[in-house]
Amino acid sequence: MNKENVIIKLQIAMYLLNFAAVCLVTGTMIFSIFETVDSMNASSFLESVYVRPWKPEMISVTALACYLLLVLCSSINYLWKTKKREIHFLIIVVEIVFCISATVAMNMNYDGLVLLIVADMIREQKGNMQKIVLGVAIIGLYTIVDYNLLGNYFGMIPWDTFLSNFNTSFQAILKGVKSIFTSINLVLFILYMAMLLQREHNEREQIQILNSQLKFANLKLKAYAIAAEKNAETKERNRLAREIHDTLGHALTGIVAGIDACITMIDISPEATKKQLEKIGNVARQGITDVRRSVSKLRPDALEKMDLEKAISKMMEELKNTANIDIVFKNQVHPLKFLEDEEEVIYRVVQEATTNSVRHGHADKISIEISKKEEWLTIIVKDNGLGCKEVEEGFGLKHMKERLELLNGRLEYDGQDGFFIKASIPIRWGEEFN
Amino acid sequence: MEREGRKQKNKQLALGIVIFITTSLLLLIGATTISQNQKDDKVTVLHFGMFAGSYWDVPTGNCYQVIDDAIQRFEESHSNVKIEYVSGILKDDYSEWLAEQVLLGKEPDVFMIPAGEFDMLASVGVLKDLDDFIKKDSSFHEDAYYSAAYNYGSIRQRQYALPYETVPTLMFVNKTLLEKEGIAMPDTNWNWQDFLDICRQVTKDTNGDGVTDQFGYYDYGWKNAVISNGIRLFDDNGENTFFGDEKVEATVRFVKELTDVNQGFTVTSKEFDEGKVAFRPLDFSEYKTYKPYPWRIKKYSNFEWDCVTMPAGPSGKNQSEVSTLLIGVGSRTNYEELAWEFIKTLCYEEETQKQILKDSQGLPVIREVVQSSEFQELLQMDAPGTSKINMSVIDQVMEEAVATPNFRQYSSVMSEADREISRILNGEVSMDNGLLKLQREMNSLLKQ
Repeated sequence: MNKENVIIKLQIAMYLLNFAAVCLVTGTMIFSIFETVDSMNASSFLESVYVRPWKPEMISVTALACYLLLVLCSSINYLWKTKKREIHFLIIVVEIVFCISATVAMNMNYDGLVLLIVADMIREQKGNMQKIVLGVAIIGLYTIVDYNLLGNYFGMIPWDTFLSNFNTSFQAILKGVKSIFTSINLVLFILYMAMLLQREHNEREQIQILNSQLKFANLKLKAYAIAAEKNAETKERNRLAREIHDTLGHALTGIVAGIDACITMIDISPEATKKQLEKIGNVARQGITDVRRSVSKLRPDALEKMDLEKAISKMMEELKNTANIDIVFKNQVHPLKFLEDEEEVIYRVVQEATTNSVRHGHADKISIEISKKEEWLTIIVKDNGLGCKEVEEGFGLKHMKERLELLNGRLEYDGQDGFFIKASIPIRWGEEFN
Repeated sequence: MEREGRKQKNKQLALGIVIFITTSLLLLIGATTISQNQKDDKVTVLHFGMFAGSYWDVPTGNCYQVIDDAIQRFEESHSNVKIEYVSGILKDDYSEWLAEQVLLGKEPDVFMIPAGEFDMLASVGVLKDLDDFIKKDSSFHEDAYYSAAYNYGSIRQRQYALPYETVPTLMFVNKTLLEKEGIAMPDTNWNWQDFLDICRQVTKDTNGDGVTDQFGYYDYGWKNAVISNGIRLFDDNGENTFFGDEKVEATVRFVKELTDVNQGFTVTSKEFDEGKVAFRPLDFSEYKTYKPYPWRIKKYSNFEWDCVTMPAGPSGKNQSEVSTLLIGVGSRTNYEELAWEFIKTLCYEEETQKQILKDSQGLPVIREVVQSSEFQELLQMDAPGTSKINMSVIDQVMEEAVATPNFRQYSSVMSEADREISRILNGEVSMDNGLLKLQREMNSLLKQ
């Protein structure tokens, strides 16, 4: 905050100093013109410069007005904390116009105003590209306003010619004062730059600290995510164990007990054994129902509520919206209706494959095709992502394979050009129900 | 936090004050500028810049008469326009006065251009380029002017001024001397050989004291001869010279022959005034001033005199130089249309141009005015007795006249050339070598 204060003070000091310099230069020019007229040297003055100077009042009004407008723009630029870069850029352009006008009005005899613009430009600039623009702009500006470079061609009258109308001691004073102004202006500018650089340096340090803090937080978050996943897995495992214990365990226990009873009973009373076996059968059936119910709890929610085709479409729609990618889903099998376990595998394969495409392949186009040939149903998922030369079988692929193997299916994949997955499942068409 | 907030506020306050001060200063500047520029709009005042006396340094009566009458006519035809001029500025001070006005930004809207400063004023941008007016104005025809006078107002193919009055150079002839020697007055088509013959004939010792005391010419130099031999020494833009031309060599040879006639004597104006010299180049303004009464008894009163054209060289005509007074429009004028109207009143209107005949020493620049019968009558009135000069001669001189180049270095180049050529005439340098060297030197001088 203290630095900010110094910067603003330096800025105001530069405004004031340049104001004094502008007054000195224009004052000298006007005074010199009147002196020329008073000493009857007008004709030889015109002959020697071969340029018609501006009207005296025109010189002072233009130089001062343009300078004050420049200061006005510069302060507005400082105060206006807008995020829009264009506005700052526009103000700087206007500043440059005023700077050039004021300098031309002074017949290019004072080039210190450029430093004000350069200070503003450096304060507003960010990024590498702008540094180049800035460099070019500064060189260009100096070229424009420097008398020695261009003044001769623009019909400007050099400072020394104006001074030559005064006696030597007065000339020396004027020269001295002007060079003092120029030097102080330069010193102020350098200080200003140093302050700006230091401020920027501090800002960068601050950002670095924040950055490392953020990184640490991120790491923590990742560890937490892993822990949470593990936790969920354990919970799920416990639930499964409970479920198996409660349903299958219960039924199996009953069945085992019943069968033990049957073994002892079968020789004494085959009739009672028959009855008992019927009971056991009921228990086993009940067990199957329970198992089915448990398994159905693990089914994807979408499949529970709608048919497979709609569920896949919905999933793709969601992926499209969340990951912003182009997905083409082509289904040649109608109706897309199978036994629950088959549907689930198909759903999971599509889900896993597309997830991989997005996560690992960074693809933005995915095509999904489902077709059938004889009893084989084929799912092909292709993307335009990075692919990979040597596919390392991760958890996802392994899982897919396992699921497919349960249904006697096969999985093929290739990562040469994008990623390609082909899953084939022998469908039990005979058991297809309507 | 609170302290930081307060500092932030202080900072904004400081810059706010800067903005406030600059804005109020700007308003102040704006207000004063506007109040300065506010003028009485009822009457438009057009400023005219002129000097007193003659452009050609001959005595004049009322030098303001022609201008005053023109202003009166202009003001009558343009209501609400007033023309003001500062009177009493001498011709010698005029250039300085004009430069001062230019420096102060108060130069007149229309002004006379001091001799030798036309190129400077045009290049510096003090003079307005008149080409646009000339193109737009259908009532203005540049053909009405004698081209030598009109072209004097143009630089680098742009017209920056219009001629007001002009003065051609004529050859003054001492009639009494020629009669005494039994020589007929030369006619208007005479040539160098005639001139040389007469000079040889009259150059002699009349009182027998062994010293030549009667001479052929005074003040005739290579510059006069160059023009009458049809030579252009410079190209249009004043970038190249043609001193190496063989016509120049022929001219210098002629001048050398002429100089040799005087047998080493240097003729001065004293001899001329005493009536001992037959010829002398003379400005038309002098003719007009000293020919009529009362001035004729003031100068050249002890002999009869008249004027003829300049003698023609082998490759030229009876041509001479004209010197022209130009009037221009200031480029910063607020009333450019009015300024154009006024400059036309002065330099184009027949009324004004006719009055120049009567009340000024120059010659009008408009052809028709010179060719009018009034002009002839006026000349006859001025010159009682037989005069070789008549309307057609003046017209011929003007038609064939050559405009003096008006580029910046003209006078310095010419004086440098004058020095070199007198060395050639004195035999210090050989003729062809000297001229080629001169051309080289002049070209490099012009390129500076």
